[in-house]
Amino acid sequence: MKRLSIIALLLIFALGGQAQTTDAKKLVGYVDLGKYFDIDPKAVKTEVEISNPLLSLVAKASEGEDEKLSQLLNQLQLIKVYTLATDEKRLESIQEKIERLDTKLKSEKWDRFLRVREGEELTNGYLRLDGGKISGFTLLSVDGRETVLINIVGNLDLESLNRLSKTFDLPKLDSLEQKP
Amino acid sequence: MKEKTKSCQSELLLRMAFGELGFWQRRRLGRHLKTCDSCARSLATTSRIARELHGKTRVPCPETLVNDVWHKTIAEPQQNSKRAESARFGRPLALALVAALLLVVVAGIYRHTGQSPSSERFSAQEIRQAQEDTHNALQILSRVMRQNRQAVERSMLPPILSPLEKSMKNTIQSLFYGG
Repeated sequence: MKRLSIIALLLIFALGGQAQTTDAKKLVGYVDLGKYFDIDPKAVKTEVEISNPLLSLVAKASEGEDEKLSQLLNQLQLIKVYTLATDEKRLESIQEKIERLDTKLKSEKWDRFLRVREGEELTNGYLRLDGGKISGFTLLSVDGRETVLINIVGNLDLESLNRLSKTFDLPKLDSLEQKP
Repeated sequence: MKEKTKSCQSELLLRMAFGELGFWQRRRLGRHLKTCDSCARSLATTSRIARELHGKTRVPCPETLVNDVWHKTIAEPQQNSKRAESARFGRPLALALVAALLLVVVAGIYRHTGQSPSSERFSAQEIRQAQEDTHNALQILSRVMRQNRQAVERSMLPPILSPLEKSMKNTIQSLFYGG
């Protein structure tokens, strides 16, 4: 009986600890880009991975400088970005991997909101909704020179992202703005 | 003490009447009986009952009676002792669980006050670097979106939007139309 009480206590502490530091890699919005694309370290131009609690600290540090950015980051659990140098040899292989991942993501309830295929360029964008909120954002893009892979885990508030368009020069589609 | 002595004696007399005593015990009790009329009378009565019982035909004991006796004498006392044991440990366990839950709640409250316990784990320089990395990541995102703006505008967005849910439409439209 004593043993049982000790085990129960340890379990509760373990669960408590788990609740405090949510592992972004276990959330539905996470996509293991490194695993799917089998990334060659030599081809990596940029690799950014920021997760909590560091992301929360960045949000806090941004409070004074940019309130909107801080609000946006506060909702996120992970930002993962790769940019890879891509040549003609790698292009086909990466396009195939994007197509394979497309099938997998769609089977896992991701919605593809963007697909552009022009010549050697291929770009797919996905959102994962969970209970009416966005829980994941993934963007996969490749052309003859570069591959960009992005996975953002958390409640990505696209309105906040849009308000940051001036800071980060995000596109606003003016012609579509005229439509009802 | 007197009661105990009496009880010991009556047990000895009973065992003597049913022929269960050893040689030396019989001799010792025999010496005592020569000087004790009371015990001699008890032995005479018990021996007579024993002889009468010996002459009777043996009847098998009903199973229900065996079960009843078993429950009353063995099973129930065991259950009671288990209950007593669980009561002994149950209270401290409940207290420990309540204390643990309280700690978890306190930790949760501490976390939501914004005083992040993990802030000491990162230096100011690391946080600045992460801030730069975040800007960098968002700029890469914006670059890809910008590159695909024309294509999305031209043909992709309306057909993509039509089958999606209303909430999805709203979020995508807010991204492209402006806040």
